[in-house]
Amino acid sequence: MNNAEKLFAPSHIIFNHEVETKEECLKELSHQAQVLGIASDKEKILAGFFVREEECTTGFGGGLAIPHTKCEAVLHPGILFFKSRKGMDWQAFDDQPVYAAIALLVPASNEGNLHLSLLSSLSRKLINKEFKEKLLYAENKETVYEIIIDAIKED
Amino acid sequence: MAKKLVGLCACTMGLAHTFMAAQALEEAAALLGYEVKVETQGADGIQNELSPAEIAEADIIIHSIAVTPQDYERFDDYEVYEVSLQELIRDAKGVIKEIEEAEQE
Repeated sequence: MNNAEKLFAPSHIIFNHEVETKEECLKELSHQAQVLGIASDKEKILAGFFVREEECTTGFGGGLAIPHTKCEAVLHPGILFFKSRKGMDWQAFDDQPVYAAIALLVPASNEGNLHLSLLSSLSRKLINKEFKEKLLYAENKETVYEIIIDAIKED
Repeated sequence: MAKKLVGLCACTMGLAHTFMAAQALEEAAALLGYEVKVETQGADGIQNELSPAEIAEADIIIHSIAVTPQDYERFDDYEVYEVSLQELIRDAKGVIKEIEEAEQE
């Protein structure tokens, strides 16, 4: 497995078109992180996400949010993706609903700097409008997987 | 000659807000006719590092930081405008215009 595949896999993608709130979305993401073994304790992950959101929303506008947390309950770095076609209330910068959330999980210790730089390079790509729209309009998990894995592959 | 604006962005985790704020500042400054360079101190280290000369030549220096950045002393002798990452992401253009007005007074 290469570094990108350690960070992101098809099982990291959740589609739940019924979800309408940030709270529900973050709960599902935390749960999945624990199921996948990325996190040891979903409650701590959820609390971590909320701390960050309260400091400053991660709904950066244009329908996309990047919830993230760095805490001890994260066992290894990971990326999770969540999509709700209904749109979620996220108190985003543009006050618009969020349709896709890319969650970044980082362990408390600073090991694995390579992973960190992959995560930040993904985050930088998410600024790009074209890239963002490609992700937002991806209708199935296979497409989402391809887009994200391509974005974090080492050059 | 175009006016020059430099910025420094750094958030607590260095994974998202840093880059979003830097992008917002770059776009707004360019739109308002500035020659712009924004340094980021994020999870990928220091990127787009500002040299002492670039800092010295800048008409406007903006810091948008939630952590104490590295090599902070580079800015010691200059007037620095501090704004929150939120403000910058939400309305970078407004931030710059406010600074311009303050400078004129």
